[in-house]
Amino acid sequence: MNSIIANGKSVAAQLPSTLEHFLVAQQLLPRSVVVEHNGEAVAPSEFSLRQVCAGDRLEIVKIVAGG
Amino acid sequence: MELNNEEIRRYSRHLILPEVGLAGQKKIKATSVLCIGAGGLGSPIAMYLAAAGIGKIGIVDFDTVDYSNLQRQILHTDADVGRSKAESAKETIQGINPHCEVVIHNTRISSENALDLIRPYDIVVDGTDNFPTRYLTNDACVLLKKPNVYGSIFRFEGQASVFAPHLGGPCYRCLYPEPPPPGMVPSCAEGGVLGVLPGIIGCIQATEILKLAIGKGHSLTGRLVLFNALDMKFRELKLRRDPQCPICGDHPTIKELIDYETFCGIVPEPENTGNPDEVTVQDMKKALDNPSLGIKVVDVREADEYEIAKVAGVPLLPLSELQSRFTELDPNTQYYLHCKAGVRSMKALAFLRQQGFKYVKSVKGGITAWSDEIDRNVPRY
Repeated sequence: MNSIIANGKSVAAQLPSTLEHFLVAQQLLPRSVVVEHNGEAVAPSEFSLRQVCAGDRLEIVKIVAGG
Repeated sequence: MELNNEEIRRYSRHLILPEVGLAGQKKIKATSVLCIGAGGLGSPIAMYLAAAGIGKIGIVDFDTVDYSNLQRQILHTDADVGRSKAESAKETIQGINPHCEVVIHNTRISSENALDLIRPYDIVVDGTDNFPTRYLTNDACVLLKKPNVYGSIFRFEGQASVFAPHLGGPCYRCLYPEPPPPGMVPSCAEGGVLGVLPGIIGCIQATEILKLAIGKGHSLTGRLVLFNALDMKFRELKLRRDPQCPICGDHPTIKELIDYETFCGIVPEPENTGNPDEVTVQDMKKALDNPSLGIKVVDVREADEYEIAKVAGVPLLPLSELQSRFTELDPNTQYYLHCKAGVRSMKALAFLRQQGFKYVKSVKGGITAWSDEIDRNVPRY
């Protein structure tokens, strides 16, 4: 187990893994979140290809619908 | 497009801004904006755009004003409760600026009318409150090549961006290709929202519209601004267009509007044939009035909500505690579970079924339906 920084907080995870696996392991819906990886925009179609490693920084935003 | 003397006086603080000036103010006057939703976000957006001199504002809303709207929907006043939101909005906007033309569309935006509604306007602003309408608004804007100024709120947090694939940025589907399953993400009606929050996010949207109108500044295209009111912090995420996006990608598969209710997993209930897992508030009343039936009613809302409104004689077992406390219930007893509107009680039902409870039903419409149909003394919230 290693950890990455998600939304400024350290999160333990099995690493390295794909971004898609990391999100699922965090019980997030990969098609309903926006992710920035080490300051870079990531399109959802890249989630299953993109590797995340220990120490990486992720910003994750969940979908909301209120208005 | 000219400004008369009264307009020159009205917009003087814009006219002396070098970035706006007379030319910019004329561009603002020449701009038309369709505001989809006259609620929390739509209120500050429409009011500020009108004050700023936008020439034409369209308002799409089929709903009527409810008391529970007034904590944040500042287009509407106490006297407007029960009135059409579109009509109430028009009155407020024209009170702010009689030079603003207001066109009201007192209808529900749908796949059938969306393109015709949007086509005559320069810019669309998304102030809707549900996933099907957000995907519909996005797709219609992409197909018509209209900028879609996006904002969304929940509890203490909000987000805003500008979607304009025709100008090089991503669209809503590039961020969120699929909606979450129904019931997974609570609405403001279920989860609450700080009244001032749509004011902040709506003002960001209105600012972006004015920047688009005058063609100045750096637009939010390709960026998602996030706001957290509790921390009083803004963050920003970079966004990119997804080449595999089904509507704005390199090989789009969506070329016309689809059925957005189905896309979002919302299955219309067949009329007169209810869900077999649900009972009505009338059934719940019978169970409470006749203990000999052996049916127990349980409230699965949270303790704070129980304090606001409760039905006499109904114990509380919050959904958030059900996993650790379900052993307090008897798997062989018949239970009617109720929440606020019937969504969380269905979740509680699904959980209890997994634990071997065979005789569990969810009360359709929850305590809101109880207040409407059985006892008006129980407050609606």
